[in-house]
Amino acid sequence: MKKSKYDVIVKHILENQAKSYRIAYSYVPEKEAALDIVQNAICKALENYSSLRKEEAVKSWFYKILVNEAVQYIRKNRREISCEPEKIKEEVYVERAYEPGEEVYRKVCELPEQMRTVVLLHYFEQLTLKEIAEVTDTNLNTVKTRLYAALKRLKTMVEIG
Amino acid sequence: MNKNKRIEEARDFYENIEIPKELSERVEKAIAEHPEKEERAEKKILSIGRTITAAAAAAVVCFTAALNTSEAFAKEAGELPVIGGLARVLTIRSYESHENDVNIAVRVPAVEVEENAGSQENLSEAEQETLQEGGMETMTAEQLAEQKEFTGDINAEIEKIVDEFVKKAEQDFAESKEAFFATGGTEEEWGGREMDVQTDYEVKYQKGSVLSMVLTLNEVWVAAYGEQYYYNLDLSTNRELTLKDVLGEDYQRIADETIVAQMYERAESEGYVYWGVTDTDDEIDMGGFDGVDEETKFYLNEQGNPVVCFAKYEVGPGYMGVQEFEIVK
Repeated sequence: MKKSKYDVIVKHILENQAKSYRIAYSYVPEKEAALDIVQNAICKALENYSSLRKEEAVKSWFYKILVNEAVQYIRKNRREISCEPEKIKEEVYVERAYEPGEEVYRKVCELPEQMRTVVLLHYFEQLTLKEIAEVTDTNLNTVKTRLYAALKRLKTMVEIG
Repeated sequence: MNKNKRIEEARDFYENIEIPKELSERVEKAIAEHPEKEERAEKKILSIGRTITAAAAAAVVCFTAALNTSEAFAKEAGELPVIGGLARVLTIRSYESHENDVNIAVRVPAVEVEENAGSQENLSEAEQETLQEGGMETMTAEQLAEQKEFTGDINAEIEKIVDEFVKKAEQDFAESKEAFFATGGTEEEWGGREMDVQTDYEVKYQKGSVLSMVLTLNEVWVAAYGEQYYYNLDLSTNRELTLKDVLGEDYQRIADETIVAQMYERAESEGYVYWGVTDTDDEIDMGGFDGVDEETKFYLNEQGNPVVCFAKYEVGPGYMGVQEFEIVK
């Protein structure tokens, strides 16, 4: 029996739920909010599953919905979030030293959204730059530009930090 | 600084971000709230092939050919359910099973044409009357063969729909269960969940050569999920009736007017929301009612009036369930 588009999507969602959570969490480092983002992304995806044209594209299609959902969440809650970072940083510094990799990870999470998306998807989720262009609705050159800009920033941040 | 090494360390850190145990529950909930929609424009597939799932075949506990005893029909006809030549709705398969936490209760209907339908000698007075009402006084062998082919196709389709629904429900359940444990769920959290799968039918109208029947399939689990199939058969012409056949050339105007009027009434009395009709917030296009056509689903009620049915989510939010609108002729 041929699987329907809906089945393909549900299967993808079930199999990639942990990944989805990590991505959401990397945009909004707060458990409840990240869970909300994942849940909303699934709802959006299943409400509009007919917009998935080719079943093979389910991966980038769902990343796109998830990333949009995360970015929207940040925009909606910008005011509340923008007064948080210092407090968070303070706690982290006081409580414990960084684990290996944590420092760079946190710097990635401080990047502007567009750069952060490219770094997250390319280095952590191992998408090709071409796939990232699909997810972000941009062209390959824009993705490359954002990636280089992100790396440059990271380098300065890590060295200074 | 070795850039790659630091990025790799960051990725390791990323991959070890703690996954909250509520995640799988939230994911399942979101999925359960959004069951697959029926493809509206998709033509129903008439298939002769019969698929009987292994589980279904193994679980058949009884095989009945009990005459349909639908109340609506019994009141209407009061005698043998005779349609056209001599056809009736039978339960061809009925079984219950309880395996792997899935409880199945299935009744599969079939429209059956009698072999001796060509002759009316053995029929009671009432049956002959019914035949005449339907304009089916005599039938040639050829007509009978056509009728058999038509009902055979319908029956095969029904059987296929039921078998696939049961099979898919069992698969969904097994897969979700697997995914639940694969992503760190515990037996305790799973809590011995069970799934109920039911399929049944109801003959809504039967007069002369016309038969209207609704096949209902339900999956009751984290959330209830159901599918309905509507069959309006005319056994004098061996075809499925559309709204146009029932209401005439002007059917779209007639149906749209009364449906929209009823939607506004219900919005007022029940607080219901009909996308695109009573709710025209066009920020997100949710679809909704955009007029009837020849594919619109309906059944005929006891009065012979068409009752247009919209599946859950088709014209409004899921909590409203299936929405039915009677169109008085």
